[in-house]
Formats: sequence, C-alpha cells, structure tokens
Amino acid sequence: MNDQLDLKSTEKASFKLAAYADGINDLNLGLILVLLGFFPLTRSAFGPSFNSLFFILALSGISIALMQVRKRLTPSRIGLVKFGPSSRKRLKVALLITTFTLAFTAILWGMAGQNYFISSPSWLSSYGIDIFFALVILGIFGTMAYSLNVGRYYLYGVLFSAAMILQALTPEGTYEGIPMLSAGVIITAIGAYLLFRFLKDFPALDESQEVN
Amino acid sequence: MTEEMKVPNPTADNPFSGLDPLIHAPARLNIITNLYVVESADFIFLRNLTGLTWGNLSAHVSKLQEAGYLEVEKSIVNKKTHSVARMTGAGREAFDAYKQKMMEVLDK
Repeated sequence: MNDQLDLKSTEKASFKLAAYADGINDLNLGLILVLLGFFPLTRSAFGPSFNSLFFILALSGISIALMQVRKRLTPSRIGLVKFGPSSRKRLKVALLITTFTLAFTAILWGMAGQNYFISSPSWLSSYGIDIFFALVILGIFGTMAYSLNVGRYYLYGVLFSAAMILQALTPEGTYEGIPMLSAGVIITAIGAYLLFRFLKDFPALDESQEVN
Repeated sequence: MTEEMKVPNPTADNPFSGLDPLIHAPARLNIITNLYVVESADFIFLRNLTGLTWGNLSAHVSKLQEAGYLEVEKSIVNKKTHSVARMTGAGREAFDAYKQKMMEVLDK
C-alpha cells in the first residue's frame, strides 16, 4: 500500500506495472539490437535492398510474436488498465517528439551520406551523425528512465549509444556488428530474466474463483 | 463565581470529522486513489496495485459502488468473470473534495 497520497507516483506505478513489469519491452528492444548487430552480415549476404526487406520482416515478426506472448501471459497476471485522456495525450506528445527527433536525425544522416557536410571537420563528417544519434538515443532512454522511474533504461541508453559509436568506429567488414550484438544480448538477457521473474511473482489469477 | 466547565465535543474538535468516511478508510482510499489516476482498471490490476485480498477488494469496491463513487462492469471473458471498475463523476468530485479538505486540515 502506498504510504503517501501522491497521485503522480500512483499514476507512474500503474503505468510501470502495466508496461514494464513483464520484461516484454526489454526483450523487444534487445532482439531489435541483436538484429541490428546482424545487419552488416545479412547485408553482405542478401544485398542492400533484400537486407532492408529482411530487416523489416524480421522486426515485424519479433514485435508480433512478443505482442502475442504479452497478450497470452500478461492480462491474466497483472490485469488490464485503461489510462485517462490526459495520460494518453502526454504519451502521444512524447511519441511525437521522439518521432520528430528520430526523423530529423535520419534526415541529417542522409545528408551526411550525400556529403552535405563536406566542409565540416573530418571527424564530424565521419562520425558526427553517429555521435548525434547516440546522444539522441541517450536522451530518449534517459528521459524514459527518469520520468517513469525505470532505472534500467539508463543502462539501455548507455549500451545502445555506446554500441552505435563503436559500430561507427569499427571499419566495415571487421565485425562491426559485434558491439550492437553484445548490447542486444545483454538487454535480451535482462528482458528474459524479468519475464522469468514476472512469471514467478505474478501467478495467473482467476477472479471468478477467488471473489465468489 | 463558578467557572463553567468546558466539555470537549469530540466531533466538533476533530479536524478530520469533515472528511468523507467512505473515502477515508485506508483500503478504500487506496482503491479510489488508484482508480482516480486511470480511466478504468480490472479487479486483477487493482488487486496487484493495492495488495488487498480478493475478499477485501470486493467488499470495499461494493461499498464505494453503493455510494455511487464507482461503477463496475462485469462480463464473461473466456468463461471467466471479468470485472472492470471506474470512478463515476460523483466519485471524482467526492475525491477532489476529500483532497481539498485533507489539505486544509494538514495546513492548519
């Protein structure tokens, strides 16, 4: 039971339980990074166009599979909650800002690829976008960790952004996917542990057997 | 001269007497606070958040429902009872009044 009548904390606790207790989001993120780690390998195997198609299909497959896992496991264990219009609005604003930031970064990345920053210092034209993108990732995960009080998202932000920079620094064809793969494996392992703990701590409940 | 003895009036002197007793009980306050910040939640979610037993949860929700503070929608999902609780407008007003009164009392 909460000791304080703090409505913001209560709302955060509800959101944290509904969205992060089962470890599915962690597994999803970890597997995406694992996939990104394999990206250079599959690119050389399938070629750039088929690789993008493979990546999109694999990404969709992972997300759909994990959504199904969540649908089967989570509602009977932690129940269902619907957040009010103000919470949904805040979430939409956060998603909009994230999408805008990522789109802006992608445009910058594309411009760098077209040598728009030719007059920039060599390290900036070579790694500037990667550093910027890594900082964006760090900012997004840091904000999530702070606002939702989910400490492990700080670690994910550091792992993801460090992997991004290391991947950029590693010459092509020399295991450049290893940093992202390692980050992905660590986050997947944390997600798997959280899912295991969730299954142990939250047994499936049947209201009809218990209440009546 | 006889000094008139002042008999304390426990109801009038108690600053908490104006608080809605239906909300003030810890278990019900816990339920209502958790429902206030969301649109609706089912009994399983409420049980996890409040830490109450099924019997306690059901009893307190019924009291709040009788007072018109909550409404409960029961349905059958996969051959199992599924109850979803949400606060009514009257419940939100009562909780707002309770918060206001509580802050007044604590600020005194």
